[in-house]
Amino acid sequence: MSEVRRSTGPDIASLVAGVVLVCFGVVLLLDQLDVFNLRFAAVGPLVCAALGIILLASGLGRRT
Amino acid sequence: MTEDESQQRPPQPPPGPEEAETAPTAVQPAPRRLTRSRDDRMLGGVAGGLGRYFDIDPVIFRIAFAASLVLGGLGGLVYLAAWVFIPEDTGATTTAAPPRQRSGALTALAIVVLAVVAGPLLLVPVLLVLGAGLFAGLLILPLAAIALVGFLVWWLVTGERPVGSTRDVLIAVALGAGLLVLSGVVFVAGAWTAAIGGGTVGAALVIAAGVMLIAGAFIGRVRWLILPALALATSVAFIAAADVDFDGGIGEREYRPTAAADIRDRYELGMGSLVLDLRFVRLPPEGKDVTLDVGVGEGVVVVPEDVCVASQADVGVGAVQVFGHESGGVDVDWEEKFRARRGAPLLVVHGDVGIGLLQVKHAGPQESFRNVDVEPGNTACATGAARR
Repeated sequence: MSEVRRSTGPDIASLVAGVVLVCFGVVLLLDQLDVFNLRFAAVGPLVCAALGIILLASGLGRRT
Repeated sequence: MTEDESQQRPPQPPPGPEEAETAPTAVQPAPRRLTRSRDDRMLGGVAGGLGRYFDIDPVIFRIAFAASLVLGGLGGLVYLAAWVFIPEDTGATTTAAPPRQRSGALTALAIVVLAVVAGPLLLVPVLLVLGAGLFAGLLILPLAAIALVGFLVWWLVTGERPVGSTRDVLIAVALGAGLLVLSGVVFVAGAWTAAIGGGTVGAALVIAAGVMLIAGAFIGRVRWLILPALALATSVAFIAAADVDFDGGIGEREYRPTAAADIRDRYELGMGSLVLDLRFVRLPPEGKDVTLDVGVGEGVVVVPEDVCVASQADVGVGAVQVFGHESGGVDVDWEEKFRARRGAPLLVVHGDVGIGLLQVKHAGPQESFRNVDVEPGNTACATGAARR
């Protein structure tokens, strides 16, 4: 994290992480509403995908 | 440790002959090479060289090498190999960076770690009794793991590896470890909240955390919140996938009905041990369905030999053991369909276990079912195909 990035716009990693978490929360909510049944077989890949997206955003944000 | 260390940053090395020819006016930094230090050494200068190369205080490498000697000696082999294969600096191409001034905190840390390392050597007889592995497993390994993870967490969160003075590095590692601990607390609290209040509350918390991060991205430095927020989301997802619900309470429950009419359709427990002992009840010939809903823990059904048991269970993480049959892992779907022999009652057990174990076993009326292993049985069932 640097002061430069703060002055040029939003922190990309935080922004993307927030969007990913909101999507994650919606998935959990749909599971609670019995729209589908969330299983461990899906949770593992979901968490990994979320982590990957956030790391990608973090890396790309640092480059810019 | 030497006393005459200075805080001076190393001067830029003078350009080599080739550089002087090609760029006479620009001072090019010398390529950074990994060499053994001649000025900052305790043995072969490996730690000093590594510290200079990575811009970290060499004491950290010395502590790591010393600690690794207790953990099987791999670090000693690595040190020897480095001593042999890494060249010693000549002072020509690599400027000897004077080691940083060591803070009192680092000195104290070094003393503690050395005491921890040397302690077992002085207590060899005790360790022979208790086992060196116990010591390593209980103290050194967790400490080393926490320090390493703290380092990595800091690196991950800030995007920069901890650099600077020893104090700066230690503070960064401590902050990284602290953030990890905070995330662990959030993980447990999130799981507990989701299990008590239901997954809807957990999902709402995750969405709220995401919104906070989005807002924070425009306001200031909130990147450190990502890890705790992810921990929250993961814990809630874990509880949702396991379908854990603490509605049934926490503790040990043992039900021992004596009449078929006393058998409930459903038994619930949030966390703990739930036992349904049916050894003293005569089941009706038409059979009986019973459901065990356990969030975290075990559900045990004890039946007499003359009862045929069919079973169906969903287990998030754990195992199902029905007489001699067993299945375990994650997302366990279990089903065994049987028909009872003529005259034998049929018990259909439905199990819903979030994290834990579902057991069905036989035991005699006078036996303590706790001491009875799960063995092949179910002999009151008609022979036929069973499905699992």
